[in-house]
Amino acid sequence: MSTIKLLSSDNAELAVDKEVAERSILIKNMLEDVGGDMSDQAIPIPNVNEAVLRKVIEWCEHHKSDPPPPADEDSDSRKKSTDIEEWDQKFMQVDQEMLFEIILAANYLDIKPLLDVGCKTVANMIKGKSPEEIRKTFNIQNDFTPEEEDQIRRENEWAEE
Amino acid sequence: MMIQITDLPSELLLHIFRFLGGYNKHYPIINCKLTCKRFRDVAQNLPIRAFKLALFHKHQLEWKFTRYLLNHPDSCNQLKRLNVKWCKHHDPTSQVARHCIRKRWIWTKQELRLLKNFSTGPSATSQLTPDTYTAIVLGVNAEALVPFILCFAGNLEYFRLGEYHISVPKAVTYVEPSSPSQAEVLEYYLSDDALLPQEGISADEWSEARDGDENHNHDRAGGRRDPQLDGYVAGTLTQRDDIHFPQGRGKCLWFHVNMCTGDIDAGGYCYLPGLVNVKTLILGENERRMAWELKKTADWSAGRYLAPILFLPRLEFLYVESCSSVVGEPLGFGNLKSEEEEEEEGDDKGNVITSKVRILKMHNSKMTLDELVAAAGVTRDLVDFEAYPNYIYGKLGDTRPLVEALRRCNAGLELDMISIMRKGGEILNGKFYASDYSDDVLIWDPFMITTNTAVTLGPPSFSFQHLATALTLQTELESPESRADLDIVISHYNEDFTELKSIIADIQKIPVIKRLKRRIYLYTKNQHNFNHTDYITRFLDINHTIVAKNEGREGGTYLKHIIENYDTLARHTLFMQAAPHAFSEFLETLSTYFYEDTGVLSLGPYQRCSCGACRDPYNHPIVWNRVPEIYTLTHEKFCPKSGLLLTFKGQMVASNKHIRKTKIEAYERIYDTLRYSLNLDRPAAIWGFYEESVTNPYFGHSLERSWMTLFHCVRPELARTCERNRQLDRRSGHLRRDACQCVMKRGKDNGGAQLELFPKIRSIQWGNFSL
Repeated sequence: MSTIKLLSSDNAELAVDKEVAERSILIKNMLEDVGGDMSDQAIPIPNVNEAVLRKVIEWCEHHKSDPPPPADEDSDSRKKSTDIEEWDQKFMQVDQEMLFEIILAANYLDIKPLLDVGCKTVANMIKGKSPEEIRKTFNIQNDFTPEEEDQIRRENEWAEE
Repeated sequence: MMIQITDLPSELLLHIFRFLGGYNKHYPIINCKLTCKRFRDVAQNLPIRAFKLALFHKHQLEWKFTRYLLNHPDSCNQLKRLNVKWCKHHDPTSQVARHCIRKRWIWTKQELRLLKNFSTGPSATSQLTPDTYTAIVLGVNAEALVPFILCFAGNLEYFRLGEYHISVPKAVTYVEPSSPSQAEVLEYYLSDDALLPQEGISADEWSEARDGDENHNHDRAGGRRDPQLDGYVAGTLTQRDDIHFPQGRGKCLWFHVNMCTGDIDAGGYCYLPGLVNVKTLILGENERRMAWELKKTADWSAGRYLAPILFLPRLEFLYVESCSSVVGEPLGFGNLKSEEEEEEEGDDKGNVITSKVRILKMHNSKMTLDELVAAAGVTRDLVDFEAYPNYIYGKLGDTRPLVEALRRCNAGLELDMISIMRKGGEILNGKFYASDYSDDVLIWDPFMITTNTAVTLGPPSFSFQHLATALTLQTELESPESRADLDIVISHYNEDFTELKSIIADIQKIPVIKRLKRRIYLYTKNQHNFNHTDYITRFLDINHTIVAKNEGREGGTYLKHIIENYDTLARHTLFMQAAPHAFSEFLETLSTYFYEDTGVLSLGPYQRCSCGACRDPYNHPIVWNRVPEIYTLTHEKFCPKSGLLLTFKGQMVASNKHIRKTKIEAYERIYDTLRYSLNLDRPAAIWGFYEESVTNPYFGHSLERSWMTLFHCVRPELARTCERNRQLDRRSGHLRRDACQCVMKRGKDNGGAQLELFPKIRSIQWGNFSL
């Protein structure tokens, strides 16, 4: 099994099985473009630091034999539930900053299943919370006037019940 | 730098919001929108993909949604599935109606302006008829919102209109707005000018609505209580004239009125954007419902509105409910039909417009056969067709023209994918259940035949001529001259054909019967089967289906068979009813006792009676004094001292020798007596509840008990010996077959002919002929 090297934004070089790295569509396409032989040269991943990259590689390692995700971008099965498998749940037990970093990295590296797991984790943090609780959870400032809040409520009354 | 959720790019935030469950479980989304402006702006882009539109909701959600739509016209861009649900509140007889239907929706001035722009602008919304806008503007009939919403949902693929009861419009007729307040609303709407206070609403409230350009502050329950509309609750619906249902356009909803503009002859239809891409259209509640569940959906005019629906450009699945014929409103493709005829005659494959529908289900449709045929004529791609006509209205008569039309036009339609159900029966999982005995007996429709029956179905090119030819050929092969070992004669009234099929199969599985050459005759007394004998024959995989008059119960059937086939009777004849009595015993007796030397074997119980007073063994006061008379008639001698052997339930096997021991004249005499109650006095005291009628005759019951006598099996001791069933011979240990039947004496009755009697397998391959 061939390995390749990834270079994080903070210049850490990480050796990864090619198969694991190819969970990232970005890396996969890159390898295909250069003809597959990158054994001597590290691939720069400028948007992701070492800690996050290690975390992402850990996820890819665990999921290396998963079937490829459905090709359809809007596939319903992707959005139907916020269920997350147990291993992923544990994996996502990180602080918010790391969580968002993982989401950003998964988005950049084009690893859709990981992106979905990250976004589902955040969605689960939103679900069942009042606006005030959401603000508290994510440390958001309320920038609405009472009138604006009223307007939103009224406008969305059709979705009540 | 700490990364926060608000630092995520918008597309990622939106991706997160997508997992919140859309607008069906809306609170997460609403709460997101209320969190901060960034969230609100992102969540605003969350497309609505599926939406359940509740009409006549007590909180007027449908109006509130339309208000949202007015302000965010793009919000339905991505809508794929629209499911309209009619809240029960709109039923004026319901208590809940009190809380909602007398409320009308009141638009603000700003909203009215938006509506006005939509009604006149260049967009699809200007396609809606002016009176649809009147209905919307006056805020009373929520159904008018459906076509309006469809204007915005250009990507809709699935649309269900739901079960629309319309108990309100049924009683309401619309007149031009007469009350000042209505006229004023309209005037305001049309002129965007000043507006007087409306009746039933305080001047303050109205001026608030009129003057405020902000959204009107409706209470949570929505709308305003309108004392004018109290009539709905009070049950004075007929007095109301202001609910704004479509007028002068036949039976319909606003949906029907606004579906399209244009017509088929002038360049085709121009549909609402929401219908252009619809693949599944369900005009009713649930395509899986059975006919008896369809009671409430209000009718709409087939003549005016079925054609544009059938011709929807992308439609594949169409379910229609309560599509009904209206006098004077012929189907909209009258011209089309003639074009098609031209096509057939002149081979001119011009621009015939056809329907793309693949699966067509018409439930509770009150259409005439001609109309159904015309509709079938414009289809080309059907793979499945179902029509359950309305109970009361559903007398289709002979459905063959319909099936022919379906088949002529739709090469992909297989036989088992046509089901046309008619009055009096239901199909459940392909099984057909007969209704109770009544004059309105079911019409069993052969087109329900399913492929998993033993009958090999014809290819799609199946035609009636083919079938008729095949049947004729087969009948010739099976002419009476070709002798059979066993005739099975079945007397049928109204019994389930599917069950009968399995009964016949069970009988033929008996080893001794399996190796016989058999002919099966079905005599049905159900006159509705008259046109379907060929198909019944085919379905049951039998040889002959004969429609007979209902005369003298099963006895009349057996006599008819004997008389008409007296000279060509098979070696043995099994007489039975379509629903045999105690069928498991029937089978056991048959498989245990029936053999080549069987003379007469009853498959019902044996009893005996004396010639002096032939009392009913189960009902002692009844004396069957016709039974000894039948003995005398058939044996040409007086009743013997030993008494008579009776049998019951009219199921037995008899050899032709035994049957012919009674002369045909005697059979004819009995048959005539049975049919016309000839020369029978009626000693009422004796036969109690039995009548001397043709359909349930005392004489017929006498006959039921007399078959042993008719077939010259006079061994009263059988009633005793056969009771201890399966008697074994003391010496040999073999079954004593004669304990339960009259046996033919070898060499005397049939000579050495038994070898010829039971030849090797000569199976009949019914159902395997190729068409």
